[in-house]
Amino acid sequence: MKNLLKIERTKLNLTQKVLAEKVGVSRQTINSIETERYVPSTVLALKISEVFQTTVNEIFILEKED
Amino acid sequence: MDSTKRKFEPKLFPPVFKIIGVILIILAFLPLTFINSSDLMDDKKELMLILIFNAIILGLLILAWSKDKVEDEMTISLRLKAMSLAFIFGVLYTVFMPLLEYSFATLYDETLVVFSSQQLILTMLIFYLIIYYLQKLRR
Repeated sequence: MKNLLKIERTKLNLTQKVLAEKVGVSRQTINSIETERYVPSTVLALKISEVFQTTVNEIFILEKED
Repeated sequence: MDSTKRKFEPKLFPPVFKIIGVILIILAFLPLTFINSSDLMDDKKELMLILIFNAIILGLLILAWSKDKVEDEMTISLRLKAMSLAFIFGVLYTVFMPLLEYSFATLYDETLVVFSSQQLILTMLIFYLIIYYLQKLRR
């Protein structure tokens, strides 16, 4: 699964730390999601999409291998 | 979403307990430095060793079961992975270590060391901590 988290974050001029605080996780977790080393839970994905005022599907994209 | 249905969240010690765990491990090692040169009888020395190992195991458990500064779903996931791998390692250790020790004892005509549960738990805890912190470093 790939994601457009970094792009969305940059659009709103948010740092990883600020985004992490908004959704209640560590900066390391946000970094791991952006570098596709960690797949967030449904709840976390929904919280992230709420911050960006968009849907989960707009940020997280399923790939063929998934 | 029903708030009563919460996903599994392990009850961990507060982060300050990591320091307590480390102190316990260090204090447990201290008697090792003078146990051989002491005047204690052999059976008392054996009891001391058992207690020292137990203290180290407890210290490692406290260290392993203490929260990080920021504990979130990713750290819980990493803990679960590390625990699973430590369990598999424990099983393989139990299967192969006695055979290795027996081979070593036979080859070098040494006294066979009896495989103990303390050895197993100690190794599993160390393995868990190594895997957990390695995973964290790679993130």
